[in-house]
Amino acid sequence: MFDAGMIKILLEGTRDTLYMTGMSVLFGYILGLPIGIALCVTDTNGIRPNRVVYRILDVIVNILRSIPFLILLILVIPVTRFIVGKSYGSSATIVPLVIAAAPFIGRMVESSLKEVDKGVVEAAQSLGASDFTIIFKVLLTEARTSLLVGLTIALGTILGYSAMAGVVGGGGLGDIAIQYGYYRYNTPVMLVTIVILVLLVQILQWVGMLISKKLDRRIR
Amino acid sequence: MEPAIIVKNLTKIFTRKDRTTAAVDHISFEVEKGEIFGIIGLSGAGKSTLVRCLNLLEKPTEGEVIINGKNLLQLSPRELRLERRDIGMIFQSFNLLMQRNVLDNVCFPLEIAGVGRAQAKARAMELLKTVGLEEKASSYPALLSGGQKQRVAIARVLASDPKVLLCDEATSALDPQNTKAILSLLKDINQKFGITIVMITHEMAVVQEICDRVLVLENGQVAESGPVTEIFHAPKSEAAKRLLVKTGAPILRMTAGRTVRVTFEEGSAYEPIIGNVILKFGMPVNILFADMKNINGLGVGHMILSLPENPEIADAMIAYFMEKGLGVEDWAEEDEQNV
Repeated sequence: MFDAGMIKILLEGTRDTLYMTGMSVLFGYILGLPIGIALCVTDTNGIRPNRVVYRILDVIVNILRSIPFLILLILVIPVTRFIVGKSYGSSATIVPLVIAAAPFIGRMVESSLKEVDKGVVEAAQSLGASDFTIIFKVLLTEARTSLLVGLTIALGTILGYSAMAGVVGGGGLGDIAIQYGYYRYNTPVMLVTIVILVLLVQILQWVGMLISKKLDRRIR
Repeated sequence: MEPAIIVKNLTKIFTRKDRTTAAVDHISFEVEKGEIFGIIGLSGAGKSTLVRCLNLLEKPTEGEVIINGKNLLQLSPRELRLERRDIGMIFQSFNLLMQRNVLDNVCFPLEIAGVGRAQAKARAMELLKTVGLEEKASSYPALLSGGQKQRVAIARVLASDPKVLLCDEATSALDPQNTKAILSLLKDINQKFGITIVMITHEMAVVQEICDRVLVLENGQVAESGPVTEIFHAPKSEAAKRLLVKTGAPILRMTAGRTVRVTFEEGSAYEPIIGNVILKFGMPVNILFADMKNINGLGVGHMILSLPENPEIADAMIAYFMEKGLGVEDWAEEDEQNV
């Protein structure tokens, strides 16, 4: 049952899962980080309050976050075709994953940045810091532990979403679990993919927490 | 000489739901260059809002703030940022960057000003020496005591060479020893660098320790202002009286006789005056409140005394106190009737 061919498939599946997760989280942050910063900065208590911008971003993020991932996966197939050229496989799955990840990441970034003591921001303002300096040298730096915890959560969540994409031929471990475990009644293969997924999440969580703790200077 | 700070008709109105409150209500005052100016008031008097209006952390609803000859409300955001480098501020909660070490905290304003890394570090080390913390340069704020954190904050604010320093309850989170140490550091800075200091506090002791003049704030308005010694010896407003005698409860009158507040200046209390007055007149006086400090072996401070009911003896006692160089004024508390 677990011959060389099967092992190769599982290894490739693991690689594809990590590829999808990594790329989606990367692009998710490229979009989500600015969204999170904008949400924090434009909110009523932010350094540049702007009700209109905040409301617009807030609504977009809420709408995207309320669509179940499986539905989103199917809903964005035309977009996926347009960007990647096909609607199946690991690379194609990255498109819906990014669309799901970005607003989620934006919210987490927003909440991390809002944890930064308002007094510290005011101190920076009183020293003549620009909004740009405050964002990069105060908010993002002071919130780095919380941001890293957010990154760990994002990786775990997107890893889970990527497995879900197996239903529509998304590639990776989820795909294998469905192809072999569900359609061909090969329960052991399905169980192995689950074990690998669990291990991946565990490792990500453990490494993420370790790094964020290492970087936190507030701990005595 | 032009004053360092001119405040004209400053007003800050907060609107919450349909209620508006004037936290700062048409306040005007001037602070001379090189002066240490106190703004005192009980909590809720509006003093924090007032000081935050001075560097526009809070935007005034009305009025003018002119610092170092510049009308802050007429500046563009960019000009305001540049001007703020000349107006330092330290806070009750220190507000250090927790993820940066002490040296990098002091470097922060220099980074904002675009000073090179090596030069900034050298300058920061110099400032840490000024505040006596050079050996903590690579520590993180979480490891420091409150007094040390405030020293770092002071070194940080000095990095941009401010001409004016605003202190918002800078010693209120500190114990008495650290309060004293920070106050004397601020005094040193004032003398060494000629920085004009505005001290916001609710403690009369802080004002007496380092301020030249003081403004007493109540309900967002000026209750009275003047030299610290004047307000200490002859407070006119209820607010000033309450701040001088902070007992948390009204002082109870013991007899029907006169209640007076006597103030002891340096040089007035060479002899045990209260003891002598009792011996001389053969009548007891009650000490209702006393706040005395021993400065170079002399008693300095104030007491509230309940004098004997006989008005002639009371008058004679008051004359005796005055002869000995003590300040005497009648003392009545507004809410006494309610007791």
